[in-house]
Amino acid sequence: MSDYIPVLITLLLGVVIVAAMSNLNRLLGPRKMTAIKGEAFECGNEATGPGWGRFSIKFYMVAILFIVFDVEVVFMYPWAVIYRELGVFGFVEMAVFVLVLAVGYAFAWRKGAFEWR
Amino acid sequence: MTQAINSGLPLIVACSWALLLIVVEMFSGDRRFVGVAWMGVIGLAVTAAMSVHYASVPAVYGNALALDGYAVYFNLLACTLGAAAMLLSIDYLGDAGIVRGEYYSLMFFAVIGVVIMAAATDLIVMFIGLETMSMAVYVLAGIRKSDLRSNEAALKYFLLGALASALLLYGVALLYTITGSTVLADVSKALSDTQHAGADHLVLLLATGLVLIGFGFKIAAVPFHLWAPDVYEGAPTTVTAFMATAVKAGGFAALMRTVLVALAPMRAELAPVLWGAAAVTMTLGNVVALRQTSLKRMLAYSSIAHTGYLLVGVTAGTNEAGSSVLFYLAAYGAMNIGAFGVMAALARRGRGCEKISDFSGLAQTHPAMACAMALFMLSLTGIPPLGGFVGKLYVFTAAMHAGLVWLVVIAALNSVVSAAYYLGVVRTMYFDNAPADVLPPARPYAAVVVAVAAVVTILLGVAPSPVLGSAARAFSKVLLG
Repeated sequence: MSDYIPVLITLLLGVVIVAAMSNLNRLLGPRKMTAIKGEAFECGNEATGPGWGRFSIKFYMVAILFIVFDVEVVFMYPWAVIYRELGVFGFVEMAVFVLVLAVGYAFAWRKGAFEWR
Repeated sequence: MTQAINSGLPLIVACSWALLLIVVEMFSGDRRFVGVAWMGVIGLAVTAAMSVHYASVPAVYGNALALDGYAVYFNLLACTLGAAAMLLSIDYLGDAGIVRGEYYSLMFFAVIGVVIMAAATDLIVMFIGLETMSMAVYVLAGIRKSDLRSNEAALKYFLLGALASALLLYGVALLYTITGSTVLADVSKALSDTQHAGADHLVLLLATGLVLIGFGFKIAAVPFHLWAPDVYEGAPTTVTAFMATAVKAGGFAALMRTVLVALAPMRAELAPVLWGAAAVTMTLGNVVALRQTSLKRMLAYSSIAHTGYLLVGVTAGTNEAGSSVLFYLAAYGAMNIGAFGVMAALARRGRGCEKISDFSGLAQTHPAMACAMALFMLSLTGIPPLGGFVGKLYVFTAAMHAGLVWLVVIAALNSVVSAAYYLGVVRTMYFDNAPADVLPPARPYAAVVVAVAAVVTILLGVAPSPVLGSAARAFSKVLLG
């Protein structure tokens, strides 16, 4: 079990830091509430409509495709770092991986997932 | 090295084939996707044949995967059921307004998931198989995008399935903290070598419970069955046929390896839980099925009840019981694919053919279909000399030998109760009058699948020994020691 003590420490540190951050802010910061400050923050734009408003499914399509290809790059970084040690085997493995993703990409393209209609 | 490649080859080929299906489908001009469907069926046949050819006992990839007899048995079962579901779908999909070629690729991937679940000898690989299967089936359940019930089915299945997967994975992680391994045999060894007391014992119980809950969701065991009726009803009939047979087989493949191999040293703690789950599952499934007016919902509750019967075998946990469960899954697959096949064969757009009353007087208008449906219903009840009877007989006998007398009594009583609703369908078909608007003729592909399922159901009842023998051989090397 002693192997897991670092994990426990990290966990505790995480909880303590988050709790400290959010509560220190409340203790130290001045709080002068105005009408504008009370509004929901939407990336600097003025908030409009209720929070449960409906969004076009197009946004979800883009988000899902982004996640897929975003995660792909996460795999590629460590692969690139030890590329020389892996040699031909590593190249072929990554080629197979990219090929599988390419099929998915072609599928999304063919089915019109990239068209902003 | 060569053995590693050989054992993995059926899976590699299957995955490549499923990807190829996507590509072919993308450029297919045929809106019925007959070619794609047949390509899927051929791919499944190739996968099955390769798994038989490359079958070998030792595990490969660091003890993560074994193409042993058990895996090959489930591979054949899943490929057959998948192929049957694909053939059922050919005419059904177009008529139901589902013009989506990826349907077949998704079904192929779901079969691959089942195969991985059965071949996995490592909990993490098993989880990957489970997710491969589940993800594909979530999409399949909701593939009728404009249908609200199909949407509801997909969403419910997805949310509850994701929860179950998370619980299962959490259980696996906790099991790892105790045993230091996710390989089934090593987990078993670590559990039997050391006595876990105090906090460790509690964590172990928690881990086992979470793993059981995870699988309980997938096989729709009470109290984790609530999704099943809604999902079975909302999903397209062909997908329901696949879910009720192949997906359930996959769930049991993984559950049995986990409970009977990795958690074998926990037998004393697990036995009462499994006993209770089996008893409650079959009783609740059968009692609620009595009151259903929708055939699809009735079959959903019947599938819950059959989960209970299968759990009787898992509770017994002997070699004899294990091989009986394998046989039961084959018989159950044949009769259930057939029953859903009859529904898919007669359903037309706007006339779901999902209520029991839709089948009134079917014997007058469609004598062959009515006869096949009656056969499947009798087999589901467990009436000799059909496959369902032999399956039940062997599972219950094995449970008797393992000393589970009361559980078998409950199961036998349940079988009697179940006769009421199964035979109710037969009565509706044979003794009620046909409505004025007669059901359309059965679709050709579906009719062939129904006929084959009927023949298999009879054969499994009349001459069960070949399949029983292979089930016994498949299970003989699973249990440790």
